[in-house]
Amino acid sequence: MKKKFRNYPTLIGITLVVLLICGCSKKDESKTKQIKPVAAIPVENFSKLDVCGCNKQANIILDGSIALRKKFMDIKTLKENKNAIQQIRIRAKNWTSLMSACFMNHGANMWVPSECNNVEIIEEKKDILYDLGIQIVQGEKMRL
Amino acid sequence: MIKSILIRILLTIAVLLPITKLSAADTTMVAWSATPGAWESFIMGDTASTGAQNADVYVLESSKVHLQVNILRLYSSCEIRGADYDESAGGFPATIQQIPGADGTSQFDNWPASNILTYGAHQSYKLHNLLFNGAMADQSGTTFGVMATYGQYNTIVVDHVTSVHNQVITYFNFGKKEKWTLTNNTAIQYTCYPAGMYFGGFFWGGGSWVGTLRSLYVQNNTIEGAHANPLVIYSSGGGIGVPGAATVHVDHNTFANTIDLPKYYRDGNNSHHTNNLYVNSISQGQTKNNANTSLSQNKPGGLGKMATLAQGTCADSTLLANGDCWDNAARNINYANNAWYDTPELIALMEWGADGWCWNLHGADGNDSLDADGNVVSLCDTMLAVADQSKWLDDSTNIQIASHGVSESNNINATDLGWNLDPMYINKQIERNKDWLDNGVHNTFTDYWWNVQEDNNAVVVQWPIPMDFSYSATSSAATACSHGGPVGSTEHMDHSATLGIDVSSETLPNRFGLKQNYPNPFNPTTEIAFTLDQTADVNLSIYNMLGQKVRTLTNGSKNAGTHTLQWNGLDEMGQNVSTGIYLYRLTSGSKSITKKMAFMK
Repeated sequence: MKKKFRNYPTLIGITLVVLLICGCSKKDESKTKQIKPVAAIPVENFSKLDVCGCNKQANIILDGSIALRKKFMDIKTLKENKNAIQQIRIRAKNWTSLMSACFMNHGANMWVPSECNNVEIIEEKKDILYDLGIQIVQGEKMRL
Repeated sequence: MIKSILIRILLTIAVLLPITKLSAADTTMVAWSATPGAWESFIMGDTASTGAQNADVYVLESSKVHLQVNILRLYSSCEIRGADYDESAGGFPATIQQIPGADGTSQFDNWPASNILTYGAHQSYKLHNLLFNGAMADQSGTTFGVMATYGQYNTIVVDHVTSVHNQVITYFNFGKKEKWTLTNNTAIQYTCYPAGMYFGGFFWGGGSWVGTLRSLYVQNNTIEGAHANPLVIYSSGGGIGVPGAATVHVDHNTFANTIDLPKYYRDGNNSHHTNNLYVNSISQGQTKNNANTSLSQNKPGGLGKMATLAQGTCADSTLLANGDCWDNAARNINYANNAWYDTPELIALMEWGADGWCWNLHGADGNDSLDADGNVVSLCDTMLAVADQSKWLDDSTNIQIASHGVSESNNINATDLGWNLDPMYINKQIERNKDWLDNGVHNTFTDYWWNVQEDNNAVVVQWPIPMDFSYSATSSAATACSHGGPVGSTEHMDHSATLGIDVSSETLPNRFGLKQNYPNPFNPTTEIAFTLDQTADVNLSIYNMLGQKVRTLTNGSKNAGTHTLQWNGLDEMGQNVSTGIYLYRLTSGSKSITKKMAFMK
């Protein structure tokens, strides 16, 4: 009886460790599941966009990248997740494809501000992403 | 006596110390190799375990074409330099030219696909004495540009670099708070992408879609044939006193045959455009088209050459806090002592189509556009009056001048320019613009090779560059610069104009100070900055080690603030000084500070 009683703390400890490990695993898994996959978009698909369309697509890519990055505590944690890295690179590739098409078609008109072309918000979001450790302007070859 | 000798010995050691350092500077010669891609592979592979480049300077053999297969990616400070060459003996700068990989396709795996990409934080990169031939060696296409930059707080210096036949943007900044200095460069004969228009220039890179700047100095460059605005700087900081605000100074450059405005018409705050020559800027002319067909600038009443339109209201709290927003009421933009001229060939284009012309509107698929009833949509257009196309300032700019902190003074229309550029280069540019304007399609100029040098060889660069950008010594432009000499770049013009630029910074310092010049050692230009806590008469002069004055950079009243001057290694007579140690002394009243610098040839 005395012996059984002495084993309770060990049992509780083991249970807690197991629960903790399971909890952590589930958390990681949920993160993986929550990453919204995007596909690489060919440059041609962006080539028909007007400046407002370019801005809209840019915001989609930047918002998606910020959201993905924020699923992870820090950039180091993100780097441990192959799926997340792949998805960041795809988004970065889409960014440069978008820039390539939009600049080629609109040149400096990309900087003409309008109700649908808020150029400041682009800079702000790029900066947020940069400070989070992702230089999306580098494209898919970015150093992570 | 002994004390005197000891002092002399100590002074000698003090002077020689930098030389020892210079000798110890790690310079690696990169010999020419017949193997394409060898040189960039060597440099990228020459790194320490930390990832830093092993050498400070990589010197490429001159009078050779170094074929490049892969983009040169640099992650830590270094200089890529071309060895000296003897032009009189047929020598030419170390030339970098792209060639496709073994599979026959370009291996430049980036957008933009430039020769060199730089990364990192707080790194310094320099290109010097090089020639970049944008025409690919197998004639399969052209290279996007020379350099694109990423990272943050990096310093980039490009000096005495020639680029010919680049496709789009020669220097493209995507980094944060980068400091750029572009001096004594030549960028000519842009090729553009097939049938392309309105995307191309010398330096793009301030704000929003691209990177941001700490400062940009563009001095003594010659830019010809750019496909849009040679300079695009949208945002360069909030104004005087705003932390982080950048300064843009564009001084003593020649801009010729540029399709769009010399600079983006919204421009960044704190930008100064002085002593520049603009010949055939907006070489596309300006039409009345309001159908958003992007055929031309179509602002009613026309844009002036120095158009500065209102910026949008910036109310973003983050950008404001970072000093990345502008103050629209105090823009601190100045145009002084510039000259401009439109040649008869461009005036003829401006008169073309005065009776109107019509064309069928094409959709993105290249076919005629149809209206709801299935009828082909046609558009008609005419050119604006010549007086509206060929002018220095427009109404929008005058409004900015009246109440938004934009100023202009002593700018002239140099109709007596006597420009020496072969009309062949002007006519080719005009023909291509006309071909585009008549229907928004390049019917004739459909490939990369629309603009070449006089030998009609689009792949091998003639050296020396056969294009003459000089002008008549009797022109009003020959004495129009702020110090009495000719406006425009000296790169292709033999004159001895002083090239000192003086840029007041935005933050007021609290002491009298002289900073160490940068770069140091240098060749051929260096920057010397000093700070004043109040307006004062100052003298900044350069002396040799014998105590003889070599050059006075400034002597007069200066406002409180930080001032940056450049010295180009010339003495008062316009002669190159010899290699060695020089002293520079800042004097104001009873206060004086002296520092040393090293000039290397």
